[in-house]
Formats: sequence, C-alpha cells, structure tokens
Amino acid sequence: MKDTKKKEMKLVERLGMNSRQEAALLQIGFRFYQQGRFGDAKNIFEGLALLDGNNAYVHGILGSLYQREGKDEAAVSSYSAAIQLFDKDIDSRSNRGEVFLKLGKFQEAAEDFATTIRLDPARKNPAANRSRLLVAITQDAIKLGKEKGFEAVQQERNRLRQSQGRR
Amino acid sequence: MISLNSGSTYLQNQIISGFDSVAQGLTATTSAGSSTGIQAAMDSFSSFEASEMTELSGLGSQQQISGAAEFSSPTTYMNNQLFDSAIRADDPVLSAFKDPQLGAGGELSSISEIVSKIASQAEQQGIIIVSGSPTELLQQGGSTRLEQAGLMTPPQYGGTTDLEQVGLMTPPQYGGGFDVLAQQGSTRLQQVGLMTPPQIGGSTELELTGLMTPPQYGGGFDAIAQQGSTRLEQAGLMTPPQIGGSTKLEQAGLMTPPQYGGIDGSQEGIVFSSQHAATLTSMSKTVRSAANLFQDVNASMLSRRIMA
Repeated sequence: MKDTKKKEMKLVERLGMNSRQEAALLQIGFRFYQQGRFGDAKNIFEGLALLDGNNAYVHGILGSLYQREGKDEAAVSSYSAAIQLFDKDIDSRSNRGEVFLKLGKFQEAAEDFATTIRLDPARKNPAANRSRLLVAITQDAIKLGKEKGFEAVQQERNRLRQSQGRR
Repeated sequence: MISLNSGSTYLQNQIISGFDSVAQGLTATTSAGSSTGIQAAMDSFSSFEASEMTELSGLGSQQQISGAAEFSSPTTYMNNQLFDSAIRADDPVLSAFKDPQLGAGGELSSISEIVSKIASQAEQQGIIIVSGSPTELLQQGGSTRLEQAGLMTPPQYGGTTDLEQVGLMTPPQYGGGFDVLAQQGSTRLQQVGLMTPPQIGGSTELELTGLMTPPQYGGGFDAIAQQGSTRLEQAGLMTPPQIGGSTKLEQAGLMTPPQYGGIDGSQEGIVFSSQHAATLTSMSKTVRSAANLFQDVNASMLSRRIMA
C-alpha cells in the first residue's frame, strides 16, 4: 500500500539549516553540559527539541538536565520521548528507571532496569551497570527494611550521607 | 549491607546517590509504621538474580564494593549506543556530531551566522506571534477558512452572509455581517426562539443554555470582542483574546493565521506559542554568547601566536 502520509518538515529544515550546523548546535549544548553549565545547556537543548523533535539524543539529554533539577515528571517525559524514538536507549531507560525508583514506582523502575540489563549482556555499558547497582542497592534496602523496619532504611541513608560529608 | 570501606570515591558516590533514590521511593510509598512501600518494592525487585549484580561489581557475599566496572549516572549522559546506532544508520546529525572534522568546515565559527539565521528567518516566516484576537483579525482584514469555504463573507459594513442567503438569517436592517446581533436587526434564530432580540445588555438563548457567558458589556457575539469570555474559551477551544494570542481554531486549521505580521498560508503548521518563541530566543542568546566567547578565544590564541 502506498504511504500517502505527508512527511512533516522539521523546523530546522524550514529555517534552512543543514545537518552539520544542527550538529554544531548539538555540540555546543553538549560542551556546556560537560562543563557543568547546565542552564546554558538547557537553553540549547530545549531550542533543539523545537527545531528537531525527532532527535532522541536531544530528548535524552534534556531528561538528564530535568532530572538534575528535580523535575521528575519532565524528566520522565523527555526520557520516554527518547525511548520512543530509539527503543534500545540504555541511558535514557536506566535514568528513567532511577526517577521511577525515586518516585516509588517500583514496578516501572524494575521493568526499565531489567530491560537495560537485558540489552547489555556483556556488562560493559555504564548505564546498564548503574541499573545493576541500583537493583543491588534496592534489594539491600528492602532486606534492611524487612528485617529492621522502614526507619532503619532512613537511618542507613543518613549514615551514608554523613560518611560522604566526612570525606 | 553494601560497604563503603572499599572502592573508589566515584563508586562510593554512586552508592550513596543510589541509596538516596531508593530511600526517597520508599518514603514516598511508606507511611509511618507501615511496610507497604517495602512490600511493593520487594514484589517488583524479587525477580532479579543476585548473581547479576554481585558478579558485576565483585560484591560477593559480603557486598563489598571492589569491582572495577564503569558506572554512569544521569550527570554523565553520553549514550554511546545511540551514537553507534545513528552512525550505522547514517543519521546525518548525530554522525556529524561525532565527526572529528566538525568545526573544520567552519560550522563552529559560523555559529553567529546560524543564530542570526534563526532570528531573521524566524521573523520572516512569522514565528514571532503577532497581535490580534480572532475578532480583531476579522475586523482588520483577516480571513477565515469559513470565508474561504464560502460560509461567511468577509466582515464589512453592509455585507451579507451565506447564512442570510440560505435563509438562516434575515438581512441586517443596517450594518452588516455578524454586526446584526449588535444592531437592531432580527434573525431567524430570534424568530425560532433561539435568540432574544438584540439589545444592549441582552442575553441569548446560547447564554441561557450555558453555551456562552453573558457579555460583560455589549451584547451577543460581541462578547468575544469585549471583555467577556465564552464557553469555548472555558472549554479550552479558544484562547482568550489577547495580544499575541492564537486560537485552537488556527491550530486545528480552521482559521488562517493573521495576514499581517503573522504566518501566511504557505507556512501554516508552524504556529508557535509565546513559550516556544521564548525558548528559541533563549537558545539564540546562549548561542550568540558562546559564539562571542569562541571568537574571543580565537582572537586571544591568535594574538599569543603573534606575540610569540
């Protein structure tokens, strides 16, 4: 059957920008991100998301920026957009799983972690390894909570934070 | 418990931030004295095999962190597999991003050009939102799809509408178009009892049936041009008339964007909200400042070379 659906022109194309120019914008945004200039990075990537909404990387990195800011819903939304565009996106899935974990959406978190682990059988992908670590930590916390109660989990959290402060 | 006594600081930070996320999740789902959250977490995480994690990081039975595995965090977002896949699929943008020659072709040094291109072309193509409410646009020469489809003559004094022509509305006794409501004419709608005779401060059956709020001053459909609001607005079908507003009708393609300062028919589909316009402006400013910095660095390097 002939596909009669008209391909929608991206704004970046309407503006006459070529792929290398778009890539240059992407690179500037990423440089800001690497340098910890997250506000500047967000300006660039939010603009890029408008110019080219079909770029999975842009949505993934925006998710990461929102996650840093504690904007959990926006982070989940951006990660989901990235995953929709590239379903083997381990980074976005691992990060989204961690946001779900933080929100107490354990089932969704477990599903994201399980997928990232399955996508990385060689255990070499850093994001999948983060998922593995989070699963291990969660299982530890569950064990502690089951044996000694929820308060013990909070105490352990405080202990870890204090030990971090001493270093 | 996982021990922090061994392993790198980097890894220890990973554990601490991870435990923090878990603890927050349990707090969000567990009220004091209840084990609801813990039980929910247990149900979801019981299917993972212990070996999956322990082998990875050398946790072993003592859960000692000593492995050398590399971990990511949301702050080190790289997504290499996405790039690998994009390059394999010949995605032009992501492939160019990884191209070590990017910049050699002048892309980075021409960033100011890119920015001005965004700014100027955005303006040319009407991305900047223009002033005018739907009613004002009609009064100022805008046209609607309804007009184009022959359902409404352009608003003007003495005009008639197809509604009149097909007998749904009597010709206005003076004045034209929809102004009939505000003038002294009567309509078939009135005659069949759907609308009370127009009068200052009058009300319509539409108001009576709750489809339109009473105009705050003026009457009938003038409500849109005045300060009143309509149920359409309230139901989210139309944004309140305001400078720079756009309507859902425009967005749904039922009304052409304003003909002055706005987007003409050839560019329909890129109607931007003011928020989107602000996003692009922010990006432009950031890029411009980056470009200036880039030029400064280049100039500085050049001058150092000259001095040497």
